[in-house]
Amino acid sequence: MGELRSSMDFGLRALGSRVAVLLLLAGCVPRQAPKPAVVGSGQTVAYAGALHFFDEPTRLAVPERVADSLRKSLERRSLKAELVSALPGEFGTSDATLTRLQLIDEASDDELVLLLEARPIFDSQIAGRFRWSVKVDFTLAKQGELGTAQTSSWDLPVFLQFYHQQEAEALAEATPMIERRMESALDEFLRGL
Amino acid sequence: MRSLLASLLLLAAPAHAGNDVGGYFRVSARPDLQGGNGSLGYWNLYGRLMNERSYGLLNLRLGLLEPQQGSNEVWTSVHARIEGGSIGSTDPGNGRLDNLRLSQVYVKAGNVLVPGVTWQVGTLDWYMGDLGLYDFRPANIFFESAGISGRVDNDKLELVFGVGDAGYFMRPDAYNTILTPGGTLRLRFGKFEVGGGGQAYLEPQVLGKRTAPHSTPDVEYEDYVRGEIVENFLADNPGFENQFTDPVPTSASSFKLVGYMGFGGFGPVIWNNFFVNYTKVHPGTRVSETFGGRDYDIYIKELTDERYQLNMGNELQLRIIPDRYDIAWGFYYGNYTDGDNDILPTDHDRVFGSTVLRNQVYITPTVHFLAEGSFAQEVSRNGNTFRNRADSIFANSGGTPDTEGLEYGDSDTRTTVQGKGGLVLNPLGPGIFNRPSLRLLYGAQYSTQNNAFGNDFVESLDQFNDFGNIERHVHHMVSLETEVWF
Repeated sequence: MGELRSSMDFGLRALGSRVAVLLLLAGCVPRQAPKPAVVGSGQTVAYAGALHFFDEPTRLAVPERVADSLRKSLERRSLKAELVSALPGEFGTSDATLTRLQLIDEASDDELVLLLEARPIFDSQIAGRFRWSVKVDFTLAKQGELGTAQTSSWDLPVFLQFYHQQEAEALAEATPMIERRMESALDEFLRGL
Repeated sequence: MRSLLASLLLLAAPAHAGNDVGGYFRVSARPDLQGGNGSLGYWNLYGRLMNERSYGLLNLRLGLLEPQQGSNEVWTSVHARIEGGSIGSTDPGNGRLDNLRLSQVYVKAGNVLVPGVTWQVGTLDWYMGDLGLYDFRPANIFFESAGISGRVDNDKLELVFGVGDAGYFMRPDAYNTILTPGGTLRLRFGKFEVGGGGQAYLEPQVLGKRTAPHSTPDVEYEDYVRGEIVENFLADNPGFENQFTDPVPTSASSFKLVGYMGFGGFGPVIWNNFFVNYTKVHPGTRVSETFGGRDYDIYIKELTDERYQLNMGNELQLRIIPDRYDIAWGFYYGNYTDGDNDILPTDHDRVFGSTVLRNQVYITPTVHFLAEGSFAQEVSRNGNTFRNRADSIFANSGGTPDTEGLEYGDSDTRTTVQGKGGLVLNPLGPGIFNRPSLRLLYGAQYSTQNNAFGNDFVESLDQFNDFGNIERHVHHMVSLETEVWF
């Protein structure tokens, strides 16, 4: 019985070692970005973001990682991103997506217009964390033809560790989920062009 | 026309749902070839990793009127929570619904009566933060209460105040009102935060109510712990079975003070949380003794009203090499005293402390290596309470076998060391506490106590014990587990 147990122990350790090696090798395989389903034709995209705060003015903001991911997604689709950083104050005070699109449209000469609006809202405390719901509206339109605008809306749950983390941290935490959904939204929009 | 069409199209865009389902799951498979029940050690003092069992929590939220950011418009939402420590194929409960409970139901409403205040009516549980390495929340209030609370939260402060009733939580089968007023205040100064607060538990005297606080006078503490109160009373007063001492009505009270300090966001310091609480444990109600075929109730308020606890914990998260190596270090200290008890080793009279260090290396953004170690020591104030050997004594007095002895085992101290390590897959990227996590871990524990993990070994030294006695101080296992907040 002792020998059987020791051989079972050895077998389990050997199996565990092999599984661990396979997992390591799998993790080290170079990650390839997904091939886009639809490719543009060299258009430029003017984009801006609006981050809503519960008790502060809305900020003109696109998290750096989201912006970087957006640029790369657009490049894979033969599109070029141009961040619009100078917008009138109405961009922050207005709550209307159409108004914001118009302001981006007027501030740029790019062929396409992209708007990312985020509204993180504190939800509740769950199992030691602070649950926030990040409501994102991702809107794409052709310049001068805002009637072509398509909006994808997502409610993304994030769990912050600390009380001092608020809207900006909630949006940053939602970035991996935004990145993945942006890919589908871009393809859907370009398919319609 | 084109603008109108654009507007209509945008209006037709899908609106955000006001309802969602969130929660938390922790599921593990831990084959234990050493006879344990799937936990590496006894409790989370050694770190929550591999010491916690499976757990499930569903949180439901219905947004009836969504908050309008930047305005004072009224908003309201309904919340409910179902949770329990049982999931199919992972524990004895096997996920049966009788292992779950509807732990929280409340309505939140903002900007009603007073702008900027969020009211909550229903269950009120609220905490200032969490020690993630331990899954401990020392600075929480209203955990036991249902009532009403208000919360004010801006970039400079958070104020929570409220009042409730903890009677059903603390006395589920013998309800009596226990009023719980309380509150916390947290102040923020840039990258530094400090806060504190507390909660009182007030149980009034209620004449004629069996479940209200009472005290049976003239009871010796040793008779109480031995269950010999009635026996000794009748030995002194033969024939007085119908004249057992009447209980005296009284009131009972207790309290909890909490404190918090946090800082970080500079250099390698992600954040440091420190929590402390000082608690007077609420007195007990009654115990029953059976003597001569008859049951007697003894009311123990005076025997259980000097129990105090000091709990403090700290957790520091450091970014050692950005996107490559983080560590989290925590410590926890508890000092529990019972002024009524000098003779019986209990959990109300002990000192314990531990430290846990977790390292996580990000081999790739989604494949990590985890290594965690912990050291803990627990000391009983009133004598032996741990058996360190397979043939250790049981009941004893000062280490001398004594069937009437109040001590147990051959040591008043338990020292435990744990080490865990393995692969962690985090689909959402780096971060010690980033979830979901899929983990393949190996863990080992050394304890001075024999078989210091959940088990059903036969401990009897009787010669007719068919299974023999096992002495084991090293316990190890593999764990396949996942943890997710959603």
